Amino acid sequence: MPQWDSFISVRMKFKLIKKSVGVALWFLLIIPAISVAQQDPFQLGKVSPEEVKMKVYALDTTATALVLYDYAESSFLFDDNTQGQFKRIIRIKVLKKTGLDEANIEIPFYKQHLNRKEEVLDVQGFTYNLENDQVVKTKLENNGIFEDDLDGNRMLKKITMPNVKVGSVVEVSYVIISDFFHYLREWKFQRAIPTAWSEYRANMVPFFGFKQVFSGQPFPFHIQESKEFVHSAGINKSITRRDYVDVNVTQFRWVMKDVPALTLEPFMTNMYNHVPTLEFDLALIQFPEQKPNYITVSWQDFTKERLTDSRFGRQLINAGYLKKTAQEVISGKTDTLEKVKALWDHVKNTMEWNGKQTMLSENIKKAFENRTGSSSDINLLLVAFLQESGIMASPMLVSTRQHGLPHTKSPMLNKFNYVLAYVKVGGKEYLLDATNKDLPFGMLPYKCRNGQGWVAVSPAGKWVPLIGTEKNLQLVTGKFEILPSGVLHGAIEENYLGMSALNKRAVIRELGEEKYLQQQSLRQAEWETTSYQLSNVQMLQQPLQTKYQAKRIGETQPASVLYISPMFTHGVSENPFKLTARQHPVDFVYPEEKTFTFTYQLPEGYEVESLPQNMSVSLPESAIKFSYVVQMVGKNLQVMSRLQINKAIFNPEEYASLRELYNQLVAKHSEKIVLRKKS
Amino acid sequence: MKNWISALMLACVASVGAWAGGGPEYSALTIKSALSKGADAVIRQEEVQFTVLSAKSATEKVRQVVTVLNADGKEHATLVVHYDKLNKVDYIRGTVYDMTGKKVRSIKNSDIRDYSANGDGTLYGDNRVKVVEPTHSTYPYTIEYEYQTTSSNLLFYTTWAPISGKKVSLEKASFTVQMPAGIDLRYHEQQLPEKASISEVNSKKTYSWQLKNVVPIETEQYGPPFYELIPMVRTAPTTFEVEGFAGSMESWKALGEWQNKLNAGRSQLPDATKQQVLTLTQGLATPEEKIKAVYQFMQNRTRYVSIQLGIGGWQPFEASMVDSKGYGDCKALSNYTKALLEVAGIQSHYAIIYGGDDNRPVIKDFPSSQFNHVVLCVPTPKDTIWLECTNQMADAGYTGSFTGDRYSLLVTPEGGKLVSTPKFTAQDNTQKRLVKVKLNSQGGGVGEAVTVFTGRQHEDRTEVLNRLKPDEQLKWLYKATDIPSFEIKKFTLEKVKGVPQVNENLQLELPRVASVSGRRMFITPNLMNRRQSVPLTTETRKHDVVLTYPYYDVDSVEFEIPAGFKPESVPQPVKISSVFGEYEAKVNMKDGKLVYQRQLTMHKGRFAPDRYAELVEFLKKVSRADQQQVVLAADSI
Repeated sequence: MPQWDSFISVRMKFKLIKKSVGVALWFLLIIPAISVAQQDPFQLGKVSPEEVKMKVYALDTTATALVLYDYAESSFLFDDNTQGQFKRIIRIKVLKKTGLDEANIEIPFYKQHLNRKEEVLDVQGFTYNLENDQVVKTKLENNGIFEDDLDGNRMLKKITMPNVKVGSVVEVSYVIISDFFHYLREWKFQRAIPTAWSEYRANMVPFFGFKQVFSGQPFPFHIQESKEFVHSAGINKSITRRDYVDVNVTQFRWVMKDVPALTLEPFMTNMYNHVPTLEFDLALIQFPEQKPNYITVSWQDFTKERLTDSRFGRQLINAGYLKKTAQEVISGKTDTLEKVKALWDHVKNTMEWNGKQTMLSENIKKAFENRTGSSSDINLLLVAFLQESGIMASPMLVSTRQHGLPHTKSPMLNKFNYVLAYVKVGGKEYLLDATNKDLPFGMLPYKCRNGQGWVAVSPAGKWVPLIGTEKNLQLVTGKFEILPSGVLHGAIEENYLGMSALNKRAVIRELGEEKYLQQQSLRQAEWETTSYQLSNVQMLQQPLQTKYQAKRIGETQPASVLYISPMFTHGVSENPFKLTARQHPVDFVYPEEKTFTFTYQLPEGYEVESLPQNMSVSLPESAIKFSYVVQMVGKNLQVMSRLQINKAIFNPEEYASLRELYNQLVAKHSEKIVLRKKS
Repeated sequence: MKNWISALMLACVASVGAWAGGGPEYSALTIKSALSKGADAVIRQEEVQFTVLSAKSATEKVRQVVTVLNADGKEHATLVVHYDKLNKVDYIRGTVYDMTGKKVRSIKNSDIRDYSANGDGTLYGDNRVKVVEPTHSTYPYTIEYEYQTTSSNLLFYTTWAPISGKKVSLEKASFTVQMPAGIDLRYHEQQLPEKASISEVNSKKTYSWQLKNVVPIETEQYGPPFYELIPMVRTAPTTFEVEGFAGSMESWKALGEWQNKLNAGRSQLPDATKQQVLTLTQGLATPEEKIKAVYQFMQNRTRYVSIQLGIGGWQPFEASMVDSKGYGDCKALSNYTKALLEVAGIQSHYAIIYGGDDNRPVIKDFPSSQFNHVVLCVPTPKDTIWLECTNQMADAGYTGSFTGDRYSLLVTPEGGKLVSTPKFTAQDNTQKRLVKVKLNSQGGGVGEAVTVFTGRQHEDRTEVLNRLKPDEQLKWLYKATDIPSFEIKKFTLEKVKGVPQVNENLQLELPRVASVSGRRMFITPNLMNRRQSVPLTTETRKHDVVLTYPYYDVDSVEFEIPAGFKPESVPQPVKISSVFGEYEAKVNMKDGKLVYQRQLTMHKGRFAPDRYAELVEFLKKVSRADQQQVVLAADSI
């Protein structure tokens, strides 16, 4: 959602008088509602017979529907108010029955209150069908247009097109007039169905400097151009007075052609990171004969703005009300890191997170008094506590995984949606979050592991990679006794550290220890497990530990040959990368090491007939490494499997080798030990 | 003197006692440990007063006091009041109390949020909610709400179910219904310790129910759903009126008559469409052929769009409107199809039903609005054909998991009739598979798996065929196929026309179908249909064992073995039979091939709680048998 924040009160105040016309003009003249029609290939109602006759889309014969073209143009209107105008025409071809839903179109818009709102006007639509070789047109009527007020701010106009069948072409046009002129609508060039032509034009005026920010897959522009022209704009001074002003308009035009449908794959960060998107960020407002008002230009300015923002940096000033508590918390501590830990612990344990993910705060003092708040209330409060205790701490802006990657090239506030506390002690950086009670000190929450975070520190801020520094370990050991009947008895100890522990602790918090352990008892028919013990649930810096006894059901009679699956229940039985090809990077989110060691005491009178062979495979630079070792340790047989995932993101080029490594791992984990009774 | 003191103290105690018994208790400290155990929230008191003013209007006044014990109980502090054009919210008040019962603050108007409640699938509706989400940082705390709604849609009376979720206990609750003079309330009780108490003043009857000290209710694996386990009173009118349409619910017949009134005069079709239907059906010999033709005609010119308008959302659009716009919701499309069939000389019935695979049972002896969907029922001399009119790709007559095996209210010219839709046995929902694998001496192989899915087992794949593009179908098959390591070289999925059946063919590369250790090869001959997990064993099973989905699986897997290898160990045949189902698996050598055969039948049924252990044992045995391995050994080296 757009951030209206600080610009809301900016209104046009024209002082200039160039050409005065003393005539009563009842209509409102529109600036660049420029007549681009003659050069615009797309017009409402001008559907070609070929489009209606089309049966398949040659570039994707499996497409259920196709965006024939999607066109929008943004402009500014000036009457006694400044407004934004967004005109759109979209034409869609339905190719299959499952594409019929594309004939239901939603237009999101926004209202703040009666005087600050957006309006969707001039909604028109037609459905075109081929009947007896003739193109027949059905008009969208008002009973196919609905409006839904989602929450008092977010609105939806919903359109359902009439008479839609497989083969229909539907076309809708509308105009949004917006009081939020500083918010220029973004444009996405890709959808779940293919797009033959996607075009966006923005008619920029010198009063507003917008930065253009492009993100997503670097799909090439078919056309990218701009041209300039002068337009005369009328401004109503009063009912009887009207001023004219010449405005230089720059029209930017971006076109993408033949954009394929968006595809989804498992282990993806956020599919919307990949959609080619054009966004705009207001950097400058400058009306003639007025001082320029820079919104965001450089990182210096952006930093300054953040630090003086009443809902961000200002919240950290005058935090004297925290002094007493802060002193109590750190009293007796001399080591800076110890102080940081104590303060973080205090905020984490006394503040209740209300579940809302935010980046700005109205009043952290109030949150402190109520002992509850949003994520930014709590984490800004933590920064304030640290600063108040004389520790160099700064707020860090983050974009969560769900929110997409932030733009590192250009300062854009709405590309962030979360705040962490940033501290540097003894040359080491700590990224702190006090909203999650199960989070150990210094561990980065899962949702924040997304590219880089930006530390709001003078003069120009800095980017810091959002990579966890914690150790992620899964360590499982088991000692088994094999009976001549193939029955196995064992004692198992599982240790989890890092993200896996965090996830398990969250489940324990949710279910309670008793229920959690009940659910741990193995659901595999071959094994029975008992005597569960759970330790270190509250000791967040310690590994979460589970101990239990296991018994494998075997035969009742001794057998002369015994086949043992040595991986217990920890064998990877299926390759998680089933598909043979990959388009997007694989994201493991964090590096991790999983080590399983199982020791087997052989039954009296039996000997090893065959063992799995040792193995070690890895990808270049040990990005991922798997090793498997079987050896006799004294009289016992020991099997050790270790998987080290040393980096989080693997590129599509690495996919084939990653998949093959897992193939070998799965195969190795299914291998058996064969024991034979000595003759 | 001494007596005087004790008398005074007695009076004090008595008055405190009286207060505790009557008014709500806000202090969290007085909750009995029996009630707080295993609970995230405790309903301290809930009073619901439902007052029927006339056939047209009623008010519902609610007071609830809830103590939230911990962060997981937060959702129970949230108030959600639904409203729409016919149901107004008169007021909402709320107060937050701390642990000791001291008032912290009142809920302000600005705390009450207002949202659309139409949901993503709905294009238009007027459902909205008012929501209060109080936050308080220290647990436990208590929240009290009072609100009132007024309804002018008396098709629905209130359903009282004070236990709002799992991990919630209840101290006391009451439900009172006051009826207008001379009119009785119709009601249905479930899981209640005490029946209704009824009083009468000036021929106005008041019905009331009480509930006290209810500990948290939990669901169990293979158990009844939560809504069956909680105390509940459903109420319904005898006579009612919605937006000028009066009706009676005394019988299913009467409820059907009311729907007839709503549907009356809504089946007009333009002449051009009538002519098309006649041309289409004239040459067809049997009613079945005509029904299919008309159904497909409807499917090809309409699409499903959810627009909830008219008489509380219960009146269909006119058939002529569907005809000109080409869309409608379940009511509109069913009514339209009914009109089309009529042109072809075929009578059908608008059939109101509960759509959903959770198949909530209709309470047969309690005529009331228990449904959420409409289909069309077409009786023919041979059979009854059910038509799902909201699906452009469905086969005529298939009901399956969405509308099969349940009661539907037919709206016939003679009024409503409750009838059953088709029932299914395991033999209707089958998966029959033949796999042929050619194994090499390195443990790899190639294979072909041919599977026929029918009934409920064909539904997923039909959806996949209808909704997904071929590359997405392949991705889905990768997910749905359960083999440790494989590649799908080629696949075909084919829906058999007119029958609930999908044929699947997979050409497989199986690089590690057998695990090689030295001169031995280990194969799990059940290649694609292993039961991996079993339900948890519990010592105290409380509820019935419920199996809702009968099915029958047959697997045959043939392995061509590389030269020089011979079976060293082959599992014994397994045959298990129980009330829940039957299982059989065996491995044989046949013409130099290793042949595995498995059959599993699971029945539908409801069994006493003490049979649960048997079910677990049965499934464990099945799972164990499914994992059994064949050991092949090369001739000695």
